[in-house]
Amino acid sequence: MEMTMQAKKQKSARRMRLFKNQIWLQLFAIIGVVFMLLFSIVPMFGIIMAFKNYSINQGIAGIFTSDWVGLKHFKEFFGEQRFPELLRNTLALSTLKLIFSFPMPILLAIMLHEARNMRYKKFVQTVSYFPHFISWIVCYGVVYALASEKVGVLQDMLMKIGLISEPVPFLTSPNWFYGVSVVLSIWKSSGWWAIIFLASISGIDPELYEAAVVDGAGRLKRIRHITLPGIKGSIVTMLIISIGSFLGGGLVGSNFEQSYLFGNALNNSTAELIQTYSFKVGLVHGRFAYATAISLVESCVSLFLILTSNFVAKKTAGSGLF
Amino acid sequence: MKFRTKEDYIVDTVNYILLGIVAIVTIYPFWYVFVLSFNDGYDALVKGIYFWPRKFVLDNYIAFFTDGRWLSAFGVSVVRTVIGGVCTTLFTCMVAYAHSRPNLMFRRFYSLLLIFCMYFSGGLIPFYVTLRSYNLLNKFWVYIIPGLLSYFFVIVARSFFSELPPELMEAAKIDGASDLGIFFRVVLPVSTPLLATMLLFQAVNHWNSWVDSAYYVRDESLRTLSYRMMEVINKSNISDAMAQSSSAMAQMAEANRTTSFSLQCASLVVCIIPILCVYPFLQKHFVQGMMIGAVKG
Amino acid sequence: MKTKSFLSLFAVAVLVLSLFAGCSGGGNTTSASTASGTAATGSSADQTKAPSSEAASANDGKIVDLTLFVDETWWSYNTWEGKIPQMVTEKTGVNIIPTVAVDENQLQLMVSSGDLPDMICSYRFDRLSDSALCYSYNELIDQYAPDFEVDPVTKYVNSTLHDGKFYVIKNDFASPQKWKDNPKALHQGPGISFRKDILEGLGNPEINSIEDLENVYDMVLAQYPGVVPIVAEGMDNSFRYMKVQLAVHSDNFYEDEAEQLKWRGRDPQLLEWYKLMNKWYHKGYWTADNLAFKNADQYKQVLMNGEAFSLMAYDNTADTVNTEMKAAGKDYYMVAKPEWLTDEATLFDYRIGWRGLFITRNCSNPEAAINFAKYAYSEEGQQFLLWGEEDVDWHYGDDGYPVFDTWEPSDKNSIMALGVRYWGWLTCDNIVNGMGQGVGYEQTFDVKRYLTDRTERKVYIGMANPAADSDESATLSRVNDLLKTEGVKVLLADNEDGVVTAYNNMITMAESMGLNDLEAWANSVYPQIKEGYFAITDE
Repeated sequence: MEMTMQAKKQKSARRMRLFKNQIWLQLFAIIGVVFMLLFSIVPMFGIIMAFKNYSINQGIAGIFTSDWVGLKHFKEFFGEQRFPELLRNTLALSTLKLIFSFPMPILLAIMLHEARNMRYKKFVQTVSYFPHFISWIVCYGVVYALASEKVGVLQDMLMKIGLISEPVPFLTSPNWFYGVSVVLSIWKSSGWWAIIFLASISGIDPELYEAAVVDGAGRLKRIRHITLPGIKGSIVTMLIISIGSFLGGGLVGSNFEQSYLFGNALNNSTAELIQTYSFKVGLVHGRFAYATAISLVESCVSLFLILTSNFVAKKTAGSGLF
Repeated sequence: MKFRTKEDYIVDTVNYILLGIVAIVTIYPFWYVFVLSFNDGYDALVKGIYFWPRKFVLDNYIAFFTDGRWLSAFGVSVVRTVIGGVCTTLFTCMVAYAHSRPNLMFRRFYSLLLIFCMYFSGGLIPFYVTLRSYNLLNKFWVYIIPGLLSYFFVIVARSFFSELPPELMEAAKIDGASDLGIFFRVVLPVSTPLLATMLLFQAVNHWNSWVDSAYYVRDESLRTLSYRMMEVINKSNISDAMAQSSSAMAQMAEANRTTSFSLQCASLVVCIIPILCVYPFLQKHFVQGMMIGAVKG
Repeated sequence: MKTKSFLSLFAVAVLVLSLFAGCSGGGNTTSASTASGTAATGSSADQTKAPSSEAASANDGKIVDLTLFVDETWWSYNTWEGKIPQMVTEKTGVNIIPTVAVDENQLQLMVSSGDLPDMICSYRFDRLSDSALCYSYNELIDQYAPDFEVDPVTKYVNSTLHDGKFYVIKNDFASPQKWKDNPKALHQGPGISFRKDILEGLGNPEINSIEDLENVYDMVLAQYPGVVPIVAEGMDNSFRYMKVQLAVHSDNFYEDEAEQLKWRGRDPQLLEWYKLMNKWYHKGYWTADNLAFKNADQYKQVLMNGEAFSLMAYDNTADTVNTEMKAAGKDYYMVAKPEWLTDEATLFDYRIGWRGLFITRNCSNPEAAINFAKYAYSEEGQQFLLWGEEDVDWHYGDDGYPVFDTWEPSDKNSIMALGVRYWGWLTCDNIVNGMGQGVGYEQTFDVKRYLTDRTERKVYIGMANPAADSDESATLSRVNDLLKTEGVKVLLADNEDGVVTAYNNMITMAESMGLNDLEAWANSVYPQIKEGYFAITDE
């Protein structure tokens, strides 16, 4: 459509007016942009490390002066002997966490919401987030004390009840690693993330519940038709973000810490992830260029996942992240 | 009119039992840590401690409170948590509110920029160098300023703000309020569950973060409490490179004979207790939302 | 609403703070030692190489502050305090401000950003031996401390392959000549110990060979159910005691009959060790979870709960564990066994030290730093840092070994009150430290004596170390990691044939990772290393 000079001037004048109208909003958004510029965009210069033969001994200047090696680090990464195994392990753990750990905070939030006794509800809610504060290292120590084959308290208890006849290799068998990790991540994060969903539930108009009761809907029906749809926005948001950080373990996260701490020589075949392997042969030896290349791959995958899931969410649930 | 159906009873019972299990499962390990922190280190290695310390000692805690560095670390952490928590919450809400307005020009751009920044980063070294060029290193503000915008919470808050009834804002506009005024006088006051949640998450984040204290600060007096805790905990952590040298392992085994685990538990407890004290105050605010429903009935 | 939360937060903070303030009366505070620079001349040992009074006067009696970064997270000392450090400050004019690493990334960040401290104590020899990062000792000695004498072999092994200068003197090393000259010095290595009560219960059987040992383990299995015969250190050093008995090489490379360097994974004795340990695994002598132990506490736990018979760890573990068990109220006692089980038992020591003091280019006062290093590496300095003040904290016993008077190696509180011992570990060499290592313990001395007599040293092998960031270095770390992960599969194979198959599989995998190139590189530098070495020694 052709625009005359006049029309163009009018359009830009209108836009200027619109802009001035929402000047405060724009300012709010702009301070966000400034922040992102200063603390995210500027440091991104380091990404070029991934394509260079950089050694940290060269200092910062070395990031710019070292030789370009193109995709050498990426080829090295994908050509690692153990790459298929690492990929499988990372995908398996992340997928299990998405399926089993993601719904837990929602479930917990609903359960808490449904509890009538105020004191009990507050108590359980307060207590449920305790594990979030236990750092993974101490968590490992606690789990070891409870579940190690020789001295684990849990093993003794289970044997006394008669459930098992000899100690279960929770921490040393490759078969148990995923199960233990998923259970621990549920234990550690559900209470904490439930807070977000609880805040969301508290925003649902109580009159909806009143109306439903009058209509004769039972508890479960009310949960299904009011609570869940009421927090649909939050669920979709958190799900998309979870998928975005899929490789790191999603919302409940901690793939790296769990693999690093609970992985050992015995369960290594299922416990070694891309991130921990890259740490051990990359970062520990100061090979930052290599490590940057790997994290660049991870970032691209995450971006792809989040854009895709956002698209799907828009098509199916009607609303996405952006 | 409220009466309880059979379904109500069943659901309630099951719910209470499940919640009870949740409570036990989450509280027991913490209780175990608490108990061990009061137990003698060597004795803790022997089986049999379940619910109560067997050899009660205060040694593990005395180690902290007689060290002046812990006191200053505590102070730093408290100040950082309060200032950081409030500033981040405010800043993030401002940005998120703008993003939530559908009439915002360049909205798509802002959104995409945010997502891009969330997932791509140059890594530790460039970030360090950037902070250095802004002259933020080794200063208290390095704890606050780089954390002002929480990308994750921009998204959460944005969803929350976009679900607020538009009539609220329109009524205020009609009364002649500017967007600034609307934000501070209309939007924020009705967003208490969101603010309480964000404040809690950010405060805890600041309280627990030790990595910035490790990398961006040299001055011992600026170290945070969580850093001191990690110092203690990492004492029994040995890197793979060191593990290859048996002399190093032998030395470490000899030097660490006042055993680590009880001490680690004590340092963890010292770090957690303050949060446990503060949380009940904040919990009030999002429970409030739930209470409105109960009262109205 | 919000103001209320803030007020409550502040109230709580104030409350807790005041509580703490009440409790912390009279605690330690970090304080820089402000002793004036009068040179306090301690008693000098016979062969002193460090004129301490000169150092202090070199700084014009002023105390120089030098920051030191200790690259090991487990380091016990966070501050430079105590009688011994203060006296060292008086002698050298240097006050150390230490920072202990909290994780491995801190050093890398410092290196790449250029914000290095004055001195670094680290094991990352290949990375830090770089003239862009650190001063070489050669240039500092030439310029400031020409009287800093370094043993030529020590100088040689610490010199880099790429520029022939040395940037550090690594600890825990001494030339073979020095070992010959100091027959009393004791080496360090693995050891085995047994539970006394069970041994007595079995009738105190003789254990003079591997077969004897197996018989005893069989007896334990039969008569003491619930007790596992062997518990050992985990991770890389599992069952190292048996490696010594079977003469397995444990350093990166070893020399085969054709005088070629080979990676340790190829050692035929290693395969024998795998076979033996595999046999023992199937007999039930040790359990698989042992391989997953991550720290000393985990094997100590098994011991303390009475569920293990013998412990394979270090030469001094028997004594240290006995102290701890007593403290925990258990009356188990571990008897150490110093004698070897086989004729071929050898402790191969090809290492050239592993941790040392680097002086960085950022050092604010290199002269003070090199003089401090001169003192710390001198015999007098080492003895002072390790043992304390002569004739006050320790004295020479009649047998030529030191006797500790004011502190005990098994009592960490007494050590930390003085500020002794652990600082010495940064710079001690094998000879001085070797004299003091066996002192103050009951059984360790004998174990060390036997160890030392059977140690074989070929220091030039240890010099074949690839440069940081090189392809060879990446390959070496990969194959060593492979040894850990695949090695487990070899150890736990179903039978002896399975062991051989898995072992061969592992070697094939290593070769596909570039092992042959790595060995080719090693053999390309090896001849000149040997040549240089034999040129300065008369072996």
